[in-house]
Amino acid sequence: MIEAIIYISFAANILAALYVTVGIVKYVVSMNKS
Amino acid sequence: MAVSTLDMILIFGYFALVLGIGVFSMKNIKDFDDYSVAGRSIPMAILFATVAATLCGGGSTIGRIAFVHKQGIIVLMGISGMALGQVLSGLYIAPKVREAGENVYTVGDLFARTFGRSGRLASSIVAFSFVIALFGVQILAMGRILQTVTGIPLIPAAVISSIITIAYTWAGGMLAVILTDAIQFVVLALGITLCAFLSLNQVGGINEAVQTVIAMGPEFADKVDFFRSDWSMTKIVAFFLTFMFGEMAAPYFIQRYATGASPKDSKWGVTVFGGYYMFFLVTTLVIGVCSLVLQPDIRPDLALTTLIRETLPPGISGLVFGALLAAVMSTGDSFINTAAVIFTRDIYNEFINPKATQQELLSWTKKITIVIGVGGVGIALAFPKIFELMIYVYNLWAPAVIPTLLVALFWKKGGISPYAGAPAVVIGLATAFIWGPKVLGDPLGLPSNIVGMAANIITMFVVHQMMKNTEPSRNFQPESI
Repeated sequence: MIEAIIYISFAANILAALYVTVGIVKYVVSMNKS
Repeated sequence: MAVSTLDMILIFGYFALVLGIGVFSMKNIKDFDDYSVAGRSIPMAILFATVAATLCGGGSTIGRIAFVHKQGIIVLMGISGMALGQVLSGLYIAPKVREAGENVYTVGDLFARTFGRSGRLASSIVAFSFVIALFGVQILAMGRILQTVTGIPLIPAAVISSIITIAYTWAGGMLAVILTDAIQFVVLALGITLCAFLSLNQVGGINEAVQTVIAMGPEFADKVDFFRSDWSMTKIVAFFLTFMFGEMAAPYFIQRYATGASPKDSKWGVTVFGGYYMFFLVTTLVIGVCSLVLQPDIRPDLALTTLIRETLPPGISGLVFGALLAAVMSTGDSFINTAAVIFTRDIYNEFINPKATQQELLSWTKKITIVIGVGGVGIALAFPKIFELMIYVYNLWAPAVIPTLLVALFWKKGGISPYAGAPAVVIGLATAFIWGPKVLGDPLGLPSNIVGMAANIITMFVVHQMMKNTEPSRNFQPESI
């Protein structure tokens, strides 16, 4: 159970990092367009 | 203690990157609105990251792992209070701040809408002192991390990291602050996960790690128990509430809520972070427990940096060290920017030049950024004891401001006397100070911030009853913002 929570946490960190990376790229591209 | 040459190159490459972000942001700044709230254009993903970077910053991550070494995983009880505080802030406070109007930049603006100039002045003095005190702490924290990683002596290390921070904050304002936050969060989240994963492999899994710690003796066994045997339930509840309210609606968060592209972006950026925060915390706890097994006698505040050096391969460790440094820097930059915006908006624009244009406000904020940055570094290094005293303000934020701020945001317009704001701030602050460790020492086990918040609420109620039929004079006239 604890192992599962730990690996879900690791996955959540990686997903959060990916989500923010996409967000940064989209934001910077939109700034450069405007 | 110094890291490899590759790691050093990566760390200084990081410095170059944040300076580049400052220059990039500078090109996109046209007025005070851009400089102080990033033109109110920040999407949900980046708002999530900027709040995350502030609360998962280098100092706090190092602090949490040090806490596991000293007291154990009971830290989860406190930080879960912080996560709940963020969820509630996201659901209710953040969208309300963003909806409040296109001229809301500071906590003082929110106070002024209900309590007039007196409310603005009282709240802005507390907010300014709060962020300046935290900035002073960050200066030394930045220096210590750079010293730990590179071997450069503390004072030059603090000066180098402070100058870089002040430079990009001055150049790029809130936009630079938020973009550096976002990049720092990505590297920190990946680096901390990798560090936890590799540490876990080294100790043979979490169950083996816990069994090893328990076998080290009763003193260690307490550290892997969610409820320490020497902590009473009152102490745990007080710990939870202290973290829950500690930084709730702090000046730098209110300013960030105002940067959202829409109220929805502000709401969900913060709320989703609050939920995610528990996962980040679990990851840091894993590192803490592995650290207890791998280096039981290490100085707690060096546990994370030593573990990163020992467990991560060269190159990756440089990136994570760079992220830790950038994390502390990006917390420091936000304090400088927020302090400068509070001064310009709540003091200069309210009391010195009410007709200031956006350009004049921009020019003043940039000047004040330099004054606060350089002055703060000078005082922190020459008279560190001043900041040691000022950090006590951290405990006074919630009792001084939160109840009054919630009334300003959620009470129906005109439903409370404008005379109630400033006295509630002063009485809440004074009560928490007197009740707290510096004077009475938290009698009855009741934490000073809770007692202070109660005093704040009672003062608002009493003053409202006394003054509800009195027409407000100029200094208490609610402002249309």
